[in-house]
This record gives sequence, C-alpha cells and structure tokens, in this order.
Amino acid sequence: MFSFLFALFKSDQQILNEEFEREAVPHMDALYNFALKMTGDSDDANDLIQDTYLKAFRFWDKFEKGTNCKAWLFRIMKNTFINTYRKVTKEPGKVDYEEIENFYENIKPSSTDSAHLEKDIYDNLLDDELSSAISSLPEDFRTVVILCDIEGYTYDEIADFVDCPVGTVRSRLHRARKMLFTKLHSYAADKGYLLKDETVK
Amino acid sequence: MMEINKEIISAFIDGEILDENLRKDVLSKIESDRDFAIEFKIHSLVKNICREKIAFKRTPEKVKAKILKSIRPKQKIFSANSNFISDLFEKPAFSFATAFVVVLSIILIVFNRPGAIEQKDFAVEQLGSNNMFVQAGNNFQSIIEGKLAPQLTSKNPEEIKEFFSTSGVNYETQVPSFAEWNLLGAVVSEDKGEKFAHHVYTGKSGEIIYLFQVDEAYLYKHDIITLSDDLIEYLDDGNCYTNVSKGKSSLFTKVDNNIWAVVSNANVKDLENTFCNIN
Repeated sequence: MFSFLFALFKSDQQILNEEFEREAVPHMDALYNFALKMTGDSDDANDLIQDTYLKAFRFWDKFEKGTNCKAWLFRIMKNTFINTYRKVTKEPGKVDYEEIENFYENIKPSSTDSAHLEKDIYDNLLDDELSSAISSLPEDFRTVVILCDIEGYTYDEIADFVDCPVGTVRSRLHRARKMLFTKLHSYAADKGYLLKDETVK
Repeated sequence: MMEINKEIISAFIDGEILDENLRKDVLSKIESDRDFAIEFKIHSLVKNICREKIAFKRTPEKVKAKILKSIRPKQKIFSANSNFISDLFEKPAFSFATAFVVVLSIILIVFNRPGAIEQKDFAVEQLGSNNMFVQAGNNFQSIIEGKLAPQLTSKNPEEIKEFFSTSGVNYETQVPSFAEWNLLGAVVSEDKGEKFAHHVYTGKSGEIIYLFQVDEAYLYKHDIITLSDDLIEYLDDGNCYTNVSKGKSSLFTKVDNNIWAVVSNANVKDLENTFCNIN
C-alpha cells in the first residue's frame, strides 16, 4: 500500500520536474548571458543564474502554463538581481534621469564627426571592452541594450520582460545606444584607433 | 510628412515600424537631414558592434549541473509536498503503523550513523573504465611497470604546460614544482577526441608521483570521464580525499577548476601535506 502511495506521489513530482526541465531549462544559456552582462562578473553571473532557477523551480506552480516562460524567467532574474546583487555591488537603486538627459545632450549628432562612425575603427575593440562598456551603463539602459542588441528580442518582448510600455523601451534604447557610443568612442580614442586631431573635435 | 522624433530611428533600425508610410518618412528624413543621418549611423554602428562582438556564452557545465542537482532532489518524496507526512498520519489505517516505522527508522539512522569526522569511502563508488579513479590507478601501475613512458621528458613546469597546451589539452593546467620531488615528464592522452594532461614526479628514494588533472566540466558531462557525484561534491566543498590500497596511495583534490588525481608509492602523509594545501 505504501509503495502504491509512493508511486502515485513520485509520478506527480516527476511530471512537475519534467515540465520544468522541458520549459525552463532550455532558456538557461540565454539567461546566463543576460546575467553575465548585468553583473559584469562571471562568479556573480553563476550565482545569479543559480538563484534564479531555484526561485523559478520553487514558484513553478505560479507559472501560467502556455505563457512566455522565458519572459517569466527573465523577470525573476531581473528581480533577483535588483534585490540581491545590486545591493551587494552598491549600485544606486535609482537612475538620475536628469543627469542622463544632460549627458545625452552632450553628444548631439551635430558635434559628432562622421569619420568616427566607421565600423573599422571599432573592429579592434575586444569583447571584454565592449562588455565593460555595457556593464557601466545605468541598469535600465543596460537591460534594454542587452535584450535588444545582444539577445535580439522585439520591443514587445522587452516591454514584457521589463514591465514597461513599448515607448519607454524605445526611448531607453535610443539613449542607451548613444551613451554606449560615447564609451566606445572613448575606448577607441584611448587605444589610439582615432587620429589625434579627430579626438578633440 | 508628420513630425518625426529622433527616437523613432531606433525603431526604424530595429524593424519595429510597421506602418509603411512612416517607414518611408523616416528614411526620407535620414537622407535629407544631417543630424538624422548621423543619428542613424550611431545607432546602426552600436547595434552592429554589439551583435558582432559579443560572444554568446554557454552556461558553464558545472553551474548547469549544480542547478539541475539542486532541482532534482526536490522530486524526492518528502520535500516536494509538505502535506505528505501529515496526510499520511491523518489516514487512520496507517497512523500507528506509520508512526512506528518512522520512529524505528530514526532510531536505526541515529545508531548506525557514521561519526561526523569519518571520511566516506568514496573508492567503492568508483567503477568502470571511464572512471578517473580507476584510470589514474591503472596509469600509475603502467608507469611502475615501465609500460607507460613520458612523451615529453622535462624538469621545466612551463615547458610541460606548453606541451599540454600545444598537444590539444583544452583546459588550463597547473604544474607545480616541489623541493622534495623532481619533475620527470608528461603525457597527453586522448579519448573520443578530447586530450587530457598527466605528469610525473620522482622522489630521491625512488618514489613515483603521478598526477592526472581534468577540468571539472568533463566530469559533470558524465561522457568521456566520470567520477561519482558524491566525490565531486566532497572535493567541491574544499576537501581532500585519500585512499591507501595495495601499496599505493591515491589522493583527490580540486585546484582551481581542475580535479587532480594523484597516485603514488610515496608516504600518504607527505602527499596530503603537499597536495591538500596546494590552493
């Protein structure tokens, strides 16, 4: 009788576990890349992805079957990052949008030399340098750049992930790319990839 | 033409404008307005750099294995449904019998539990020709019997590391130097296309110290080379495992990402003092 009860119970657990492994585990690599870019550190990324999956498994019964599992996992990861890793890294919890706006205004297109926009100039930049530039962006901006330009998600998907309107995604992405451009431009100048007279314009 | 905000350039580049007329208007604006043209170039450039330069990284096998391992125990009977035990006791037909079995089990577990400091005998779990413990023992035996000679003879640790790397070993290796033992040489083995690093030391009294190191990720894959999960976990926790049998000592430890198997006819205490504190 015991073995019968155990068999029934095991079967439920196996179904639950199989569901989780089938739905959630295949997204692990995508989430790991997101974790790497969000934390900027492989050890923190390892911890973040483990915490995310353990939470996801614990609350698997709350996941609405048939909805976007990947978006659900991303939301768990983002919240875990905000609640844990951001505190640890002492990153400011609030973005100073005014400061961002001023920064953004400082890089008006009219002050940009079109010679600096040739892709060849940036070909020597390393993955690490680019990752570091992305990691230095404010969190909201970093998130949209990672999701759109690296992971290739649509604005609708990103809006779903970060829980904000599509217009906000577009606006953040626009500013984020310009900020990222100035950082990459600065890296290229430091490395001597830009001609000296070009850098002072 | 409607007024076009520069933010819409992002949407244009990302293919997020579905209205054909708006798309044409944006394109026309980019072609006619220098500021818009520059803006378009900046966004395209950044997007292309991100897409091309950022390498997609797979979750490390070790991390993936840890996650799966953490998840899977929850499918065990008691943890997954907290009501299970109480439900069982609520069933009158089973309440007494269940209580009796539980109490008896607890008594048996308590009285038969090994001492906290007792080291588990992991050696009995190491089975099969793919097992690292088994392979290390066999390789050591071959060295002693003169059947396995170094492919490279060198006392220079850097030269041995270089040999591992140029011979196709796809993981970082460590080749430490010791005052009491001299490096003799190294061998690179191959299994299903994967290369593995082995090197040997000799002592003044004729001791042979053979060291086989493998990136832990290989062991998590359970494919080419294996080690029991219990032993991997034990080593992951920073422990060192030693086993003495038939005149040879086997020592397992973890150094950085590699699991080291050391097999020797040297004194086991000397091995422990040397290899268990290498980090």
